Amino acid sequence: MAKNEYDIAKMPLPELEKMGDDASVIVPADLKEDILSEIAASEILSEKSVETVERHHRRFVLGFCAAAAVTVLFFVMDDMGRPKDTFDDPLTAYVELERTFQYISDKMRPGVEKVDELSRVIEKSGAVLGKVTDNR
Amino acid sequence: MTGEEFADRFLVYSDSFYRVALYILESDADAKDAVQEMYVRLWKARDTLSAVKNPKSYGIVMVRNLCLDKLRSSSYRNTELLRTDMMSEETPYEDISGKERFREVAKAISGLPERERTVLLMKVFDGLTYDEISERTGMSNLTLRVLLSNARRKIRKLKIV
Amino acid sequence: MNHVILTVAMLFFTAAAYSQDGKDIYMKYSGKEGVSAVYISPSMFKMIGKIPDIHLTQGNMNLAPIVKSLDGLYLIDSGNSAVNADLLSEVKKMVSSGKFELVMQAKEDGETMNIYTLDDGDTVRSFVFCAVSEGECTFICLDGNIPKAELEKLMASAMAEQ
Repeated sequence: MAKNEYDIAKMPLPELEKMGDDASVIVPADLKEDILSEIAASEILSEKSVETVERHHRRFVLGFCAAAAVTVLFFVMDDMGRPKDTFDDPLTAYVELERTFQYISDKMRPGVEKVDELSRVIEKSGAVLGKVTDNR
Repeated sequence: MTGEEFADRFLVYSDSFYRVALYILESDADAKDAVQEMYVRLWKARDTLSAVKNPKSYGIVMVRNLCLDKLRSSSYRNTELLRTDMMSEETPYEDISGKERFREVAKAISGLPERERTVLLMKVFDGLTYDEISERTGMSNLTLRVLLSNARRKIRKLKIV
Repeated sequence: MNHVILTVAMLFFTAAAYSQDGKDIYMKYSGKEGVSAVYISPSMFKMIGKIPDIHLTQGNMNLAPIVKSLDGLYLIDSGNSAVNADLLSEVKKMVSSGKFELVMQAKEDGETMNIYTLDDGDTVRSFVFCAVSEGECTFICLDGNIPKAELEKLMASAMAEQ
């Protein structure tokens, strides 16, 4: 039976990570090689010019500086009397945010469905009443 | 991000990503497909990846979402509900025939003799110059050019590039 | 001297009567036994906004437009009966003061759920969710400058996921 997409979508990140670390699950021996072949194929097909190592390095350094600036801002704000962030990692925080919205919408759904159902009933009743009044 | 950095930060977790994909998709072939697609996307966006603090978690979320897309599209096919947003979702391949072409090229690269394949990957994936490859492999510049030229010729011969 | 004491007392009571917000509720209950708590700060939201979105969005639930408008997420999930009544009372106090509007209430299988928003034109400044059932109480507060249309779109897409 196929996995339920909804249950997988709600799975917390640590649970997925645990699955990823399960060494009893055998991984194809040629996985990494095939990944590299796919990447090389994408490069060849897109006819991308090969960038120099120097350009890559410069971009990496700039990216690191931006990340460091954001980290400094985070620690300064923390001293201004706010509670401490629950997560250190923005990606984990993002996954939690996603789960929160999913949880809220789960709770809203029965109410919204009932309203939709009621609207349909009202619409049908309105149509019936309309016919009755028209026939008089 | 250089090929080496990409390998150190992301490729190192390929086994974990595969296991997650396998759990969701329950098929070796589909799991491998999903992981390969994920890496191609990551590679194309490698210049933006320095902001990723936790590559492993990032990759797991990404592979999960790719697998969920696959599950949804197959369940949609089963119920004969064609959602145009699913069909037109951006993939690393231009269209279905593009995907075939892509796979043929990747297969061709996998099938190259080891030296040709190594040189091709160093040039295309690691972005190394001939001098740098020569330093690492001990092969002369001329040998490298010949190997690379052979590799590209074999791929072109398939009439797919 | 009496005048000073009276002024200080008035200031104190004014401060005490000042409306609770998500942060106050979070700070009060986050350390309690049987309570799990999550806080995401404005800085963390900025960092979330910087995560390269190659394929981070799940299905049709795209959080990107919302993330940049959020200032804080406060979540209190209590399984402690001793805390629950008090927490519920604090939440009621919070939504009674100020201009919160009850936008949805639902009762199902012994659980009551209320959603309140504090609006400013087409912007939601605070979104409060509270669910109470036997032995459980969940409080979620999202603060920010959230475009109403984006929030509605997100909730609709999240509901469509199942």
